[in-house]
Formats: sequence, structure tokens, C-alpha cells
Amino acid sequence: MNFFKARSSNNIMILFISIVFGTLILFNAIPVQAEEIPISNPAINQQLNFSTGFEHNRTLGERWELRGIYQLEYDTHYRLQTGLSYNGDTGYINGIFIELGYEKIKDTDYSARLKFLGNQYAQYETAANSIIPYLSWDNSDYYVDFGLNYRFTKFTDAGLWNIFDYHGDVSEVILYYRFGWRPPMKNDKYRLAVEFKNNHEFYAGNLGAYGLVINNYYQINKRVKIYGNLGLWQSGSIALSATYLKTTLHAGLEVDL
Amino acid sequence: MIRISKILLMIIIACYLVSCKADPKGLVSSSDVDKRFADSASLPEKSDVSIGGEETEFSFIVIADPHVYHGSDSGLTELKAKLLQDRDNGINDKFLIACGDISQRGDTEDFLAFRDILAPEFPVYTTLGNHDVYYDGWYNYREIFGKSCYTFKAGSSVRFVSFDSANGTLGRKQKNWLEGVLKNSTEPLCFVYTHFELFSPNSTTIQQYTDIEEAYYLIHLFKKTGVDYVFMGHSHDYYDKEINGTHYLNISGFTDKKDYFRFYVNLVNGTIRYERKSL
Repeated sequence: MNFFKARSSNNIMILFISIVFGTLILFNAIPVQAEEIPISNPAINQQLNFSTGFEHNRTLGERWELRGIYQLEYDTHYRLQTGLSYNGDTGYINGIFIELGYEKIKDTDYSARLKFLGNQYAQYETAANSIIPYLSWDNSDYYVDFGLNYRFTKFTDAGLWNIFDYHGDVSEVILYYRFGWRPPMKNDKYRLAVEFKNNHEFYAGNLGAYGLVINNYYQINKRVKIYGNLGLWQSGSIALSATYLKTTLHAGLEVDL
Repeated sequence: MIRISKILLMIIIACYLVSCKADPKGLVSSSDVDKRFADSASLPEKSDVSIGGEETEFSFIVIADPHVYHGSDSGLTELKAKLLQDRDNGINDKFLIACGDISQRGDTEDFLAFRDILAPEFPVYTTLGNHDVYYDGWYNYREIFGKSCYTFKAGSSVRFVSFDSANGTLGRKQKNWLEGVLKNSTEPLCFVYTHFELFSPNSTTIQQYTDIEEAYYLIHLFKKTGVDYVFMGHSHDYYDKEINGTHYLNISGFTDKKDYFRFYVNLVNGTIRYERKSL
């Protein structure tokens, strides 16, 4: 009985989130006034991103990973991003995500995004799937992401690789946040960003699992840039009694197709 | 206005940084889990609880988050009176387990108050909470309660293991120690207790164990080693969730809810039951 109740409750919540975000995206997508707009092909931008990374976790040890992300942007407002991360230490896929976004709502700095994230910990027979609706604000100097992470964790290896399986043993709701700053640089080819956050592309952590991450970008030419980032992550109780948890290092290549 | 705000902000930051209890990494100075593990090596082992050969069942009490603070005993005196009354009525609780946040801010007087209210009638087995390590509270805690992680037996068939989660992470050395203790445990029943909850099914709670991968590692370890109960605290919420045969029992906060849990362990048929009670 409880099983069906839990299933029903999860389905209602997923439906609710989908409707709210679907409505928000559609509402902003529909032009307010009927205007005669010259017919032209809307711009399509595609991007590929490959990186390799190393993580040192003080408790669980070291691991390296490979990541790939594909991004499709349509008409500057619609964005689809998807990615896959491979854990070189365990030999398993450890993260998959699909993210849908409506960018620059009414040509402002705000965007609404919905992320489906699956984290597989096959070595622990555990899978954590998340639905993350969040709002993003980016004025090019500063940027903020803020949302909720609805996480469903299953502690058996059944259905481990289905990232849309939301019938787990435990359901949790956790704040999802990122605060970033891009300091002005003299050379346009260089870009630096400093972020404080509890997530990255393939991970959405608990409230107290926050990190300070420094990102460096260098534009090689119009289509290619290389980047590297260093993250120091903390553990503890919302800053108090916090201590060092892990270091992450990533380096990669971003190509506009 | 902006200039005044900037000056005020700089004064606040300066005051914070010159404070001897400040730690820019963690806002409030607190010790590190590896340091506590190393310190614990030189501290005395916890003594086992003796269960008479004729006893077929024994009971013990579990509380969490009493947050004793400068003169407020959080209702511990009342709890002791209640437990003594129960003892007169034939319920003989052997000991009391406290799942962390014994004190509000790691002060010696609060640790002493906790111990002295309950002892000697009720031996206490405690675990460290995040509040206990604030302001370098570990150095006060270890003088009164001893090790940060330890194990003891009750009778010959029940194993108890406490681990230190006050920083929301185990550290490699403690992880290896915990793995060793649980894998080498031969007793048919096993209870584990700590402070941070490994997950929070209550949607209003946002204070889970920090690193999700570490939490999943622990849950997998408890499954593999056949742990019966894991007692946790921190969020002050009550829940009992069974995952792969292990009960994850989050103990409601004693400071606000005045709840205590009495566990009965039947040594003949190996069954465990508990009741949630309130003052």
C-alpha cells in the first residue's frame, strides 16, 4: 500500500514540476504581441566540451574521470545540454545529465532551467537521480543559480542505470546554489571565474558540501577555447565545524561546432 | 551609503579575523576529524557492559542533541528522575547513549553537567556532534568523555560502535578503522551510532551528512556487515527507515522534543524492539 502511495506521490511531484516549468517556459516563449517578423532561419549553436579531471577525496581516495558535454542552443532562448562522466577509478559511468533551459527570459539576465541528473555509484549498488528546477541570473560580471534538488536514492542495483527512475528508498529536497564572479581581465582572450557552489555539471551535493572553484579560460581562436579549474570543497554543518573534504582539478577543450 | 556599508563590512570582517576563535575556513574554530582520531589512540578504551548470565533481556536508552548550555540542563534532571522511577518499577536500563551535540558550544561546564547529572546511576556513551567541536570543544570533550570513536560490547552477543561525524566526513584513517571493526565483529547483533544523519527523508530538513558518496559508502558497508540499527541525530527530527535490513533511526532532539528511546534486546531470540517516549 505504502509502495503505491509513494509511487503516486512521486509521480504527482514530477508532474507538478514539469507543469510549472513547462508553463514558465511556454509563457515566456510566446510573443506578447503579434508582429510581422521577417522569416529567417533561427540561429542554431552547437558546442562540444571534453575534459579530464582528478579528484582527491580525503576519505574515499583519488580518482580520475573523463567528461563529455554537448550543448545545443536554438534562437538564443532555447538550450539543451547533455553530458556523461566516466569514473576511471571504478570503471563505471558516474554521472549523466540532461538539462533543458529557457535562456534570457524576455531578454533579461534571467534563465529558467530544468535538469535531470543521474549519479550511479555501482561500487556501492546505489543510484541517486535528481530533478533540479532552478533559476539562473547572469549579468556577465556576476552570476547566480538557485533552485531545489529533488533527489531520489535507491540502495539496490536494480534499475541502476535508469536516470529517470524516481522510486527510490529515500527522497530528499536540498538547496541547489551557485554564486560566481568574473573579474575584469585586460586580455580578452583570458577569462577567470570564481565560484562558490554545492554542485557542478555531474554532481548536486548537500547543503554543507560547498566548494570554492577557480575557472580559467583561454580563447585559442573563434571556435576553440581551453580551460582548467581548481576546486576546494568543504564538509561540515553549513560552514560551522567545516573542514577540508576534497580537491578537484579539471582541464578541457570547448569547441563551437 | 555604499561607502558606509563597505566600512561597516570591513570592521565586521576585521573583528572576526582578529578573534582568537575565528577560523576563516569554517567560520568558527573547530578541530579536524583526523586530529581527533589521532588523539583518540592514546585515550583509554571504553569498558564493556556486563550482562548477567541469568538475564535474558536488557534495555538501554538513546537520546540525541541535548544541547546543554550554561545552567540549562535541557531536562536531563527530569529524565534521570523518570529513569530512576522506571528502575524502581523493574526496568533496569543498563546505560545511556547520546548521539552528539551534548553541549551547545563545546564548553567544559556543559559536558560536565551532562555527565554529572546522569552518572553514576547511568553510564553514558556519547558521540561527538558538530556543536561539541565548536570553539575547539574537542579538547574539553576528550577530557570528560574520552575517545571520538570507539566500540564496546554488551554481554557476549551485542556490539556497539560509535564513529565521529562531527565534521560531516570520516577521514581515511577513521574509515579504515570503522571498516575493520565492523568486518571483524562476530557478535550477532550490532548497533552503530553517530551524530550526522546519512540522509533526510523529511522534506523540511537540509542537514544531511555532507558528502553523498561517503554516505552511500557507509550505507553499503552497514548492509555488507549486517548492522541492525544506526542511531543518528542532528536535524532533531524523528524517523525510522529500513534499508536493506538496517534500521536508520533518527533520534528526535532532546533539547526541544524531550524524547528518549528505550531499546530492549532479547538475548535468547536475538530480537530488538524499542519504544519512543517523551518526558
